Amino acid sequence: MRVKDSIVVVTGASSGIGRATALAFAGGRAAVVLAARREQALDEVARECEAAGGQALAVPTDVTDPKAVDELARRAVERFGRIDVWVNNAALTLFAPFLDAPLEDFRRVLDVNVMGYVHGARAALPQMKEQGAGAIVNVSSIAGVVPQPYTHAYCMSKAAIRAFSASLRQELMLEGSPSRNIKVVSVLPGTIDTPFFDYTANYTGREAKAMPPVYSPERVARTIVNLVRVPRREVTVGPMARNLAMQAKMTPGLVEKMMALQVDKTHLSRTKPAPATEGNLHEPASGSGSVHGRWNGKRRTAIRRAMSGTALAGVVTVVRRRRR
Amino acid sequence: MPRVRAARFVTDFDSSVNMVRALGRLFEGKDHSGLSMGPGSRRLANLVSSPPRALRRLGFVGMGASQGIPLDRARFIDAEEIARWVTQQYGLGPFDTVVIGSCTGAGLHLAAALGAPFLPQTTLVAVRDFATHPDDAVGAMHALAPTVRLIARNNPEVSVYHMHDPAQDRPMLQAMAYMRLKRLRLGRAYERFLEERLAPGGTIIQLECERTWRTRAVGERAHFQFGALGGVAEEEYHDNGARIAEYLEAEGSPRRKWEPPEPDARRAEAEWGWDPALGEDVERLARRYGYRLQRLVMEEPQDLSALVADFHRWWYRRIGVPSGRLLVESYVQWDPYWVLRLGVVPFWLRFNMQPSYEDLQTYLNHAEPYDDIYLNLFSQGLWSPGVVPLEKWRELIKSKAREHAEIIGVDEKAYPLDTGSTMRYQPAFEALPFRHPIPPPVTVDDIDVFLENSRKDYARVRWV
Repeated sequence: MRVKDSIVVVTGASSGIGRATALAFAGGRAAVVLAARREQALDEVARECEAAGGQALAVPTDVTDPKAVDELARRAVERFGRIDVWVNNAALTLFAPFLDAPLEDFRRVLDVNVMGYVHGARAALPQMKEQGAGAIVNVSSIAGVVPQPYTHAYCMSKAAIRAFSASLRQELMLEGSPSRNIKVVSVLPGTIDTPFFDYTANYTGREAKAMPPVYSPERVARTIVNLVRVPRREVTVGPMARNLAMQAKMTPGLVEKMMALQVDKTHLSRTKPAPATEGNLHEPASGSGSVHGRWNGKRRTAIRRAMSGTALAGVVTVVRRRRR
Repeated sequence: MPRVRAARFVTDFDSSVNMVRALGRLFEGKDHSGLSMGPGSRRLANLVSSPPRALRRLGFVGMGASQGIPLDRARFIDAEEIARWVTQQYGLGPFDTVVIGSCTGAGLHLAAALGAPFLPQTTLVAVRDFATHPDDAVGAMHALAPTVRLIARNNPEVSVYHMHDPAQDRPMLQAMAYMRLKRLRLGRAYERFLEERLAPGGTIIQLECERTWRTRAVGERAHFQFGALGGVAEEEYHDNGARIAEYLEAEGSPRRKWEPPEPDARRAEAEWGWDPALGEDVERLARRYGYRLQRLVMEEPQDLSALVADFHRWWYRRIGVPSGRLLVESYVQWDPYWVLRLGVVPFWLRFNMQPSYEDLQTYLNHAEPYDDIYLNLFSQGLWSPGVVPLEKWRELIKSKAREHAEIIGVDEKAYPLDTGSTMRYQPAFEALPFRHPIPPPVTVDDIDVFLENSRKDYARVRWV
């Protein structure tokens, strides 16, 4: 599918991956329809998208409300006449020992992360079927493949999204043309440098951090744009996510244990205590949002690449000398 | 949790831990050099305290960081294992007397004289905290509350006190948070110790410090205490004033006053206070095994110091040891081994602050004059409100000693930022003249006799 002049709806567009994705599509001369709870942030993203070269429409939306999501689709069609791409991205998370997680918080994560996607797909599909084409991009996570401790609801939701994508894909395939021209793809990012962890609900008593390695949100956005151009069933973002997905197939028990230890040591701070908070679960975070968090994803990736390049060059040099 | 791990969880500069370590080593014929953890070495101490002031201050922060356990280890804190570690510091016994309860340095010397092990009600575990500001009491309370609740939930036999004192503990608070575990039940380790190692018909001396403090509950058996016994009065922590504003400004704090959370009750003071809940268990066990239970009740932890000093004097005279030398120790820089080897009378100060100064002054005003007075002071890393300058201490002891008065084991240029302080006190004690064999222990009856014959009225102490 051509990105230029396509109509793209992005949920969770006020910050992080959603915002980066909206900007990437706008940069490709697509029209973007931006959805999130924060109106002020959406207006700012809309201005940024227009500055990047695309058209933009901001529609404040809570994805847990099916009527609001239907209205989002209606507004998109009303303004631009069609919906080519629907990016289900809005997500929340909750860090807590299982018994300490308030049930309403647990349910809220599942509601946003799973039912929000269901509402999105139900709003987009009739329009796409009518058009005879379209793409639904469901942003899942590598945590949907290799779960993590203390984020039960999030991991459940991300696994559910993968299953939901596959199930819907199968159904559309069985329906035949024109439904089979509607692509359903899942994106499985690793840890991304977004403000996500700063606003998370947290009952662990320890500050939540981005677990290394951290990748930039632009990398996910590029992947999503490329997936629209050339759809694939499921794509991981970041070498670590790819490796984890592979390892989970070969040595699932070992990967599960390693992930548990890794999360305990590096995803939750060992030195910074944190008060119990429901974060942005029930009320959106204040401010105008941002693409990036405070985890230096781009710089870290650049350093990793430089180090890998140096190591590779070293190996090549050694091998060449030995051959002589 | 093996022994090594339990030792890793307790905090090396904690008063209770140092009572236990000092007594355990005394019973093995060893001294309490370097808080029983490191060497006692004047040279090493000089080396450590030689860097510039700013580096020394950082050194104190670093010490706090090294004592705090990472937050992910908090779930492994096991009060029963710590109790077992305590009992492992002592020999097999049997002991005629066991001391249990509130920590106090005077109680340490009494236990040492009795040859009695001490089982503390309260122990300290520190967790790392690089996030909260020492002057943000509410922020610290909220940030640590989940950890306090976690420890309390995992240890139903203790109350957990998050103690936060930005006055005297400031450098430590920059890198760690104090979690004081106060036992409400004896628990298996203490019960077994009393069952197996206290001789039939033996005595349990229960040290009870009645000091309470304003606290705020943050969960079941989980409390937050702002401030602690030291140079700042309890009211001042809440009401602030010019002295606190000056202190905060001098420390470069963005605040000019403290705004602690509203207290909801007075509870046993986190470090020194006695929670009577444990007394029920002790009484039950004493009754079951026919032990004598003797309560030694004091209003403040330092109240016992005069009585214990006078008791030592009385005891030394009775066994023919000269009793004219006074050794004034502060906080955990104590050494019962050298007190007994040197035959000096111990007087314990809770800290180096004004209330401690006044207590020593009162004691010296009323005590039979001493020939020699030696004074050692703990360094806590800053000039917090109430720290008494060395010159004032020197004047006091000089005015009261008949022959000789000296501040020993203190780097006067570095004090109270003497990073080598804990390595310096024991060599200073050891260097004092005259040695005696360690005398045979006294008995509880000796205390009865002493108190019956004492002409002094220790109004703030009850032996019941």
